[in-house]
Amino acid sequence: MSSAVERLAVVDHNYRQAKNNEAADLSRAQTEAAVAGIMANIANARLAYYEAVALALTAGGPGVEAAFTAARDAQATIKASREALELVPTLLGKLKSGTAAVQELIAAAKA
Amino acid sequence: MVTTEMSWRGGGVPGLGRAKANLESVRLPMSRYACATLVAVLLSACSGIDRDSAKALGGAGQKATQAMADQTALAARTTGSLSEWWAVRDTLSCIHRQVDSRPGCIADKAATDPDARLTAAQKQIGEIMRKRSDAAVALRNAYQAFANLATYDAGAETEAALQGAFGAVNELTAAVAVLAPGLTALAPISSTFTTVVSSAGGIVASERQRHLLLVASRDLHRAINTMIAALTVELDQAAVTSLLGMLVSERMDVYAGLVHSGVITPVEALTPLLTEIAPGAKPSAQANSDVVRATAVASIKQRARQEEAAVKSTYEATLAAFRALSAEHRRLENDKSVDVSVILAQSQRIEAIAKAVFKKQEKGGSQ
Repeated sequence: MSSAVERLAVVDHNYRQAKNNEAADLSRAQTEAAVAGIMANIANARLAYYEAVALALTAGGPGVEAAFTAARDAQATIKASREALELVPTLLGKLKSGTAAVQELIAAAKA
Repeated sequence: MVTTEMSWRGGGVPGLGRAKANLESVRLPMSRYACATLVAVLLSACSGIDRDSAKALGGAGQKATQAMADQTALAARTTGSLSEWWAVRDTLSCIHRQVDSRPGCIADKAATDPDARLTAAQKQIGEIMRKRSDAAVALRNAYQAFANLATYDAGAETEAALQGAFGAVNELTAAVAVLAPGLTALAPISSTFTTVVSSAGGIVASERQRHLLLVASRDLHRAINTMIAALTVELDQAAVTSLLGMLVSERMDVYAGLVHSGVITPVEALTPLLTEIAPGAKPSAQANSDVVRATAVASIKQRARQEEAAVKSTYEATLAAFRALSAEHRRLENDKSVDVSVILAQSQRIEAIAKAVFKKQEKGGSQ
C-alpha cells in the first residue's frame, strides 16, 4: 500500500525528469510534432505537480494503489527509454503515458 | 473567593451569635484581604521563574519564529512569481528549436494564457504558505511580549499577543489536522493568561510579574508544542520540503535558460565557481563558446542541487529550534537554568540559508 508521501514523490520525480531533460530531449527531436509533444509534456507535468502539492497540503486523499503503481512503472519505463537512447517518437509516447499516469493518480487522490 | 467565604461561615459555634453578626459586617473587606494574602502566599510558593532567563528565552523564541516567518513568507512570494518564471522559461526554451521554427514557437508561447487550474493550485499554495507565515509572526509577537513582560508590566500586551498567537496557530493546525485526522496534538488550544491576570490583582507586584511570566511561558510552551505537532505531520512535511526544493529548481531553470539564450554570459554564471577556486582571476571575454555555455549550465545545475538540499534542511532546522524552545520552556517552568544556544544556532542557520538562496532573487537574481 503506497502512502500519500510516496505518491507525491512520484509526481515530483515526473516533473523534475521532464524539465531537467528538456534540452536533451529537444535536441534529439526531429519533427515539429515531437518538439511540441515534449513541451506539452512539461506543461502537463508541471500542472500535475502543483495540483499534487496543493492537494497534499489540504487533503490526505484515500488510497489509490492502482494509479500509483501505474505512475511509478511509467517513470521506470521513461528512465529505461532515455538510457537506451530510444527514438524520440518512442520516448515521447512514454513521456505522455507517464504524465497521464500521474494525472490519473492525482484525480484518484482527489476523488 | 468561595473558599475564603466558607471559612468565615464555618465558625457556627452556639452562643456566639452577636460576635458572628459583628464579623458579618466586616466579612467582605476581610475576605478580599485574606484572598489577596492567600494568592500572594501561593504565588510565592510556586512561582520560580527567573526574569533574566525568561528574557533570554523570549529573545530566542523571537529569533526562531522570525526565521520560520521569513522562510514561509519568501516561499509564498516565490510561489507568486512562478507565472512569470514559467512564461520566461517556456519562451526561452524556443532557443532549442530549429532556427526556422523559432518564430512559430515564440508566437505560440505569447498566445498561450496561463492554465486556470495551474493558477488556482499556485494561489492555493501561496495562501497556505502565507498562513504559516502569519502563525509564525503571531508567535514572534507573543515572544516579544513575553520578553517585555520580563522587563516591565506588559500584562495587557502579553494577553493580546497570546490571543493573537493562539488564533493563528489554531488556524494553521486546523488545516494540517485534515492530513492527520485523529491526531489529538492538533486539537485547538486556548490561552489561560486572561484568567490569571484578573485573579492575581492586589498581590505584591514582583510576585505577580513572576507568576504572569510562568503562566505566559506555559501558554507559549503549549503553542510551540502544537506547532511541532503540525510540522511533523509526515505528508505536510513531505509537501512543504518538496515545494521548497522545487522553487529553487524553478529559479535555476530560468537562470539556465537566460544563460542558454545569451541574456547572461556564461562567464558571469561561472563567477561563483571562479571566486571559489580562483579568486581574483580575470576571465577571458573570448571564452563565450558553446562549451563554456554548457559548462556554466552544468555549474548552475550542481549549485541548484546543493541549494535545494540546503533549503529543504531548513524545515528540519525549524523543527530543531522549536523542539529546543519547548525543552527550555520546561526548564524555565521548573526553575532551572536556560540555555538558548541551540535555538539561536538553528535560527541563524535558517536565516543564513534563506538569505543566501531566496533573498538573492529579491536583489535581481544575481548568483
